[in-house]
Amino acid sequence: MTFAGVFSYLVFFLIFAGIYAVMTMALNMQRGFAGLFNIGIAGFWAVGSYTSAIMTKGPSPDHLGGFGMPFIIGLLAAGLISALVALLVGIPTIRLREDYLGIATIGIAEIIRLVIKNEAWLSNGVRGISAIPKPMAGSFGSNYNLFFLLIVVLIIALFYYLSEKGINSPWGRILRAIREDEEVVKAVGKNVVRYRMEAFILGAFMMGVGGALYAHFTSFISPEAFRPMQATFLVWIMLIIGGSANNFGSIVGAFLTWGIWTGTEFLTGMLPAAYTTQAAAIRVILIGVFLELILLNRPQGLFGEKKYSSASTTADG
Amino acid sequence: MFKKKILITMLLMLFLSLTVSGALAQETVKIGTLMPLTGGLASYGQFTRNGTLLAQKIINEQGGLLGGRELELVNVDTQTNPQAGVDGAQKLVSVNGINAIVGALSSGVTIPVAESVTVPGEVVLISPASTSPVLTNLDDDGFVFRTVPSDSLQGVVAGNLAADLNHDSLAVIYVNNDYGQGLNDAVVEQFEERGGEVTASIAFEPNKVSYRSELMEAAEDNPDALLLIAYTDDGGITIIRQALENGFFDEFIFTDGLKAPEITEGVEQYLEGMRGTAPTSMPGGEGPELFTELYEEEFGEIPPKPYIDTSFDATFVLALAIEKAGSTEGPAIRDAINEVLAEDGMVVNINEWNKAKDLIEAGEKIRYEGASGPVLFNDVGDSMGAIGIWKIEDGDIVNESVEVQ
Repeated sequence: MTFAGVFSYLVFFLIFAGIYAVMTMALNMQRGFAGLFNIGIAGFWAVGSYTSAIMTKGPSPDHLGGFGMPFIIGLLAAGLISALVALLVGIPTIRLREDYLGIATIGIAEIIRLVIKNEAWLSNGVRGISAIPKPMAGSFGSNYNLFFLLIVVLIIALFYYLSEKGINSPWGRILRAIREDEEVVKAVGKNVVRYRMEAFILGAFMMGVGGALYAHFTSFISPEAFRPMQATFLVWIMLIIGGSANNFGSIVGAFLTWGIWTGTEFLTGMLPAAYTTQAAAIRVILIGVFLELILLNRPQGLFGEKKYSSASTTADG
Repeated sequence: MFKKKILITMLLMLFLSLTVSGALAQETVKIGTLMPLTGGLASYGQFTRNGTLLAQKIINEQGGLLGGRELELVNVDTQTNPQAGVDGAQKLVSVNGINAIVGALSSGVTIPVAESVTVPGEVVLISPASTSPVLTNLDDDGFVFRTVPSDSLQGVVAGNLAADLNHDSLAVIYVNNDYGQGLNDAVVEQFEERGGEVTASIAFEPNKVSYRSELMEAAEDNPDALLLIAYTDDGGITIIRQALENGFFDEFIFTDGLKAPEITEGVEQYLEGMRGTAPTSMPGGEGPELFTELYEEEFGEIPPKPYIDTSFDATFVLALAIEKAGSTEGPAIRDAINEVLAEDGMVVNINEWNKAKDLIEAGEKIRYEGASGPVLFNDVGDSMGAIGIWKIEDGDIVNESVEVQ
């Protein structure tokens, strides 16, 4: 084990956790601020991943594609298509409250996964799309991951800035009011459905971009990557650990949870080789124990809901 | 306050484990293994892991490699999932400083690992189980190998088997993933070429409670037999049970994922004499018998599951290549693999590591009579392989014959 090795793993770790942080912030927009119970993250993630892959790849006989667009167009398209899907899904379902919306979204995510799995002309079906181009591939040599990390950090920073800006505006105040008590907001004469829809679409846009980052980083996507455990519930755990309705908490939650998820491997890796099979099972238990410990001590998450100052929310509006 | 303590303890443990594993890891030659020990393929992972451990034992008992250094295997659990698998592979490469990996099993994990970690990191990867045709055409700079043949090979044999059993019509039910689809395509093509008729070819989603609607659709035109492409733990067993319960089929042909004794439990008399296919060892050579003997000495009875022998071979071949290269650098190992293996080389059996070392020192090429038969790679890194036909006899699985590609 060398310092350079640990450093390069650290960079890799930050990229992966960073992609999850994008997802968590997106969910925070929907759940934390607007109270939308979206458990179909995997669906938007998949839409983003596939859109960007199809947009940026050269022609292939196996699936739709051949547009050869630059990376940045891929990211944008991923966000936009994902937002469009959210709009279409939202029209019939956004009026549903809490758990009803949850059931609808998990259904949508499954539908999306099955469409990708079975419509081979679009997505090469179960065989997945390989050789998704990486932005500026080959220009940074062995430091390439550092460059990719920079992209991820930039996107996190951008989303963080925009959602803080949004949530501190009158728009954000109404969102939070809707989350607390819809009837009151209705009584004031606000169009509740429109606000909920906007939060849903914005969150989906961010999820789409996160999905695109994932696709370009791993260069290969197949329906296997979008199963609910890793693509939906892990993001929820991150949000809950970090603290709902707190963008900073979302980011920390993502990094900490992914750290526990992968870091426990180092712990169980210390057991003698003869116990490898048991170690893997112990690891899963350890993950559960760590998460339980955090939640028992911080039921509101590590950071809890952020108090948004009245100065910044009352000045305009 | 308590929260802080926990956090600090956690970080401390993490740091400790990093340093400890670093301190222990001197002077050994390390090969990584990416095996699923949790998740969908966990029931395969523990045994394929044993295959790699056996190779390690043989090599270390005969003096290690690169002038007496011990071989160390570092395993990371892929959780049968691409996100965790890619992360694990990066750990092996960066933290453990590994330049050669055996794994992963599922193609859905192996391909992203190759594309995002091992190929850019110039690490040699040998998969003992990924059979997807996509792997053949991967742009991998020659860093990716596999010790199993591609799916399409088994499909051809399964199609021939159905025709040889004098079935005129056939229904295929396959698990809806790359493995199932690859096999299905090859089976249908081959069976039709032999003049048979495929009346239905139906994909199923894993782990459903009932497959009666799929079975009903498959049985509609009264085909002679059902060719089932599935794993035991994703619904394969349910399909067999329900096909028998409702009398949809009484003739079956199975593929490698179902080559496990579990499928006959409680229904032995109905499955008696049914046949199936599975990738297996090339004939000739003592490898498979020797492997079974050595495995049972070490771990007890060998389960009739695939990929244990190919995992052994992947490890052994990597060790040969490292010895030949005289280094643990990725590109050197890659080049050495095809330099050291040759069809007309000197025969080396799986327990003859010392002989292999001497031959390499003498500059000879080696014909490695592996646990899964002679191991040779074609120019895209795929193993040339053979497909075995197995049969259910008295509720047990016995190998019947071997079809060579």
